[in-house]
Parts: sequence; structure tokens; C-alpha cells
Amino acid sequence: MYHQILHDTKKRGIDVSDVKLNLKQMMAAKNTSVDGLTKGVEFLFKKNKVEYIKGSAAFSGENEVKVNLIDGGEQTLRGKNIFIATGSEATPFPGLTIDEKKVVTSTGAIALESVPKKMVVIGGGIIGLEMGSVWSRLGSEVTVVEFLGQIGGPGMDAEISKTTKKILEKQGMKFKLGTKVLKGDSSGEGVKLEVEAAKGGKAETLDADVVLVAIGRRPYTAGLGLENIGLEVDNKGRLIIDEQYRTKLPHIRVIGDCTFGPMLAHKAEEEGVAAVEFVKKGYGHVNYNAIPSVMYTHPEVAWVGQNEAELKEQGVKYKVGSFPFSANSRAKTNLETEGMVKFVADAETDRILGIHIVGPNAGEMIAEGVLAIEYGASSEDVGRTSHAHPTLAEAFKEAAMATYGKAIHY
Amino acid sequence: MRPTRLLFARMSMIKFIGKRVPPNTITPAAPADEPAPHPASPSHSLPDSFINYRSKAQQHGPLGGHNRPSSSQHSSSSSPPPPPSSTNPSHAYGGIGGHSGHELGGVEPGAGRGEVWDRSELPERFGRLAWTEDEIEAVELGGANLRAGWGGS
Repeated sequence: MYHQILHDTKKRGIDVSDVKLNLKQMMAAKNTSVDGLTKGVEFLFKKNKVEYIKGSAAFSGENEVKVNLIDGGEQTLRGKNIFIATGSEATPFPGLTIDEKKVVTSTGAIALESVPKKMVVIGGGIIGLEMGSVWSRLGSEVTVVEFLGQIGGPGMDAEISKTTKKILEKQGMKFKLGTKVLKGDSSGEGVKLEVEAAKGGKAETLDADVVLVAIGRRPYTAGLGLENIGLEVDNKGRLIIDEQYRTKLPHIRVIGDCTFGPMLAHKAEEEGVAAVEFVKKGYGHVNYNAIPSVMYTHPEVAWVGQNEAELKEQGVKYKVGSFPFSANSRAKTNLETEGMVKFVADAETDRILGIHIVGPNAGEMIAEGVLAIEYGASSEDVGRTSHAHPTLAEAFKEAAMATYGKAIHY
Repeated sequence: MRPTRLLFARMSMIKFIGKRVPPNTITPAAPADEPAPHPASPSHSLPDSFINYRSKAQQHGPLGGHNRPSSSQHSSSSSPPPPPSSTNPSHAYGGIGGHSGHELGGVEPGAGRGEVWDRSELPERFGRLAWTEDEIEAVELGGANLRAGWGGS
């Protein structure tokens, strides 16, 4: 909003003067939101008669966990069925000590006390871009250093990734792709990072007030006492489970970030439901091909299903249709014309295989795509569905039309 | 008019099959006794230790849960529940203790006076356990092999 008031409102006929950022108040508002959501979960526990024991737990037996209570003391709990959902933590960068002040993870990045003049983000994945985008819009000079040749991580479609990079660069963010960080020094007032091209080249030094380490997340299972019951993790630290979320001890099931699949809250939510259904009913299901990914930058990026590179690798024949927001009525009116909607459908059957969006409201719009994929829709099914005018959703329909035929308005 | 008529002939790929009703018996993608890899597993396989543990654990009974008859099959107390399949070895061992008595259904004879069941008509869980090869051998040899093994000679 701050960024919009500074850059957009004048064009729309609203003169705002003396715009100031009150970061303390902004953080207080953020804390209120977080507290509200956390208390909401506690309320649901109470409402559904779920006992909430606060502490850190470790397995002391196959059916027993010992809890070190936050309020002091220890409690032993026994369970016929036990679910592990301990989540993940930021992967640290070797050679840089995280202090959550100068060298921060996403946890520290949402609690900075002032806007850093210069910020370097190590890792151009979703978390790095989201946090970098936030501080860039609040006035920080942000440079993203990414080892790979594209931003957004492996799931993002290459064309969408390129478009997103262009948009973010226009907003002032800088990118160093195909670049590796050799070492860092945070002993001085700021942080110095030595970087060089991944393929080898001349090293250079980047200065920053704050360095955000966002090279990925790893499963969090430390202190869980897995060794006490012989549970195994794979080479990435993920707990090994079968298709029913069971570990090798069948009454212990695992869901969420600490096991296979994308590290997303809504994926964990689906798994939680399916795992309980397996216990209670003997069956359950999660469609891993219909889990949406959303990057909350401005504009947002969202996708579901497979991207072009993945389909090429699998040798699947596909067709592509896209529609730019610059040709969409509402996007034009709102002066938010950057980005596009892109469909990838099976060349023979027209079944939708993937949907990729960068642009205004992408995170909300992808829900329609998830539904289409879940129901096994064709691009023609979506293209022949009426979408209200004038809405951003029309771009979605037009992209579907472009996939099986031709978009009307482009 | 022709294009409109063509439109009506178009069939949507989405097919509605009505309300979801779980079938009476669920056939899992893989037998419950054999753990299948998780669909999001990067290797699409389970480690050997995992499978070995499961096959060992199966001997002690906790994994027979998926062979349970559906509740509709034994909701009536007047008829005995169908005996578990004799071809499924998990019932000889893995089924024991895997279900509560209530879940397995009633065993009372019908309301008719003087109606009784023969012992052989009772569900398999009331019958004798199957002999293992080791037990048969132990009986045939009068326990000599056990004694020899126990004595360490």
C-alpha cells in the first residue's frame, strides 16, 4: 500500500502528501494479525475438545512421548496413534552466523527494526523474493544472489520466471543469477559477501546492512528422539513414509514439511485430513498434482500442475495458450497491466496440465485453476465458461481460449 | 445456427458422478500388508529396512486393519460375520487383536428357541490357531529340536 501510494495514486487522481512509513506501527499491525490467527487455532482446539500441551516432545517409546513443558516440568503422553507434524526451519548458510539482526532468516526478515539501506538476499526462491520484494517496496536497495539461472525455484515456469524478473527489476530490485556466494563476513558494522559467477569468474564483494539467507528450508526433526524408536530420515532429512503417511512403525504417521512433497501449509492441511481418514476409515487421498503454489510478491505469482520444462522432460506433447493482463479490462482500469496467464494443456486430449499466472490477484485466481485440474477439465471447458466482465478472471478465460483456439480480445 | 448446434454436441471433460459414497469394501492401491511408496517420494521407493520391518511386524499382528469387513456386512447380530478368508495368511497371525470384538460383529444365535450353532460354524477367530511348521516339527520330534537349540549344542 505504501509503495502504491508513493507511485500510483497520483496517476489515479489522488494527491497524497507527506507520506511516511511508521515501521513500528506496521510491525505492531503484523503482530496483531499473527496473534489473531494463532489464537484462532487455540480457540478451535478448545471448541473441538483438543487438549493443547505446550512444550517440546521427544519419543521415549513407540507409543510414548515425553514433553518438556514450556511452563516447566515434564509430562509423559501415551498414544495409540501418533502424528508427527514438526515442520521445517531455514537452512543456514555455511560460514554465516544467523543473528536475526544483520544476518537474518525469514523469521528475522519480518521483524527488522528499521528499513535497511542495502539488503542482499542469498537465494532467489519464493521466500527470498517475497521478503526482498517487501523491503524493496519499503525503500531498501535489494540485490538477490541466485546460484541457478532463473528465479522462483524449480517449480516456476521459465517464461513466468523471466516475466516476473523483469517486473521486479522495474520496481528496483537487482538480480545476480548464476552467481554463488563464496563467503561472508558480518564482524563489522554491515555484512560483506564475496560472490562470483557459478561457472567461475571474477569475484566481487557486495556490501549490505542486512543479509537475508533464503537458500531453502529443511525438515525440523531435531530433538524428536527418532533414534529412540528407530525411525529413519532420507538424505534431505525428511521422515520416510509410505502412501498412507505411515512410518515403518505403522501407528506413527508424518505430515507436512518434515516429510515428502512441497513445504506448503495448505499441502500439510490436506495431508492432515487424509492421514486422519486413513486411521478412522482406512482410506484417504491427496492429489499432489493439484496443490497450488503462490509467491506473495507484488504482483503475485501463482501456479498449479506442471510447467513446460517438466512436460518436455517427460516427453509429453502439449500446447500452450497465454493472455496478457495488458489486454484485460479490469487490469487496465486498475493500472495493473503487468503479467499474464498461461495454460499448458495436453496436445491430444486438451486436458489442462498446468496453469501459471503472474499478475494482479494471481494468488486468488489460481483457485479456479486448481479446481479445473482437480476435476480433470480441458482448456475448452474453462474457455466456454462465462466469466464476469469487467474482471481480472476474464484473462483466465481468454488464456484458456488461446490454448484450444484463439483469444477474443488479443 | 450451425455453430450453435455444434456447441450443444460438445461434451465437457468434467464428469459429475454424484455424491461421494465410500464403497463397502475399499481396495487399496497396494495390499495393506505391503507398504507402497508415497506419491511425492522423490525416489518412488521405500528403503529395505522399512519393508523388512513391516514384514517382521506383521508377524505380531498390528497390521491386519485393512482386511476388516465393512460395518454393513455384520450389523445384524442374528447372523455370524463372514469368516475371514483362509487364503489370507494375515488373518492367521496379523488379524489377532487387530479388531475389537464389537467391530467383528455379534456371535449370538438367532432369536428362535433352541437355535444353536455348531462350534465349526463360529467365525474363525473362535477356532484353533493354525499350526506353524515349527510347532508341527516340535510335536513330531517331541520337542527335541527345541531342547537341542536351547541347549546350544
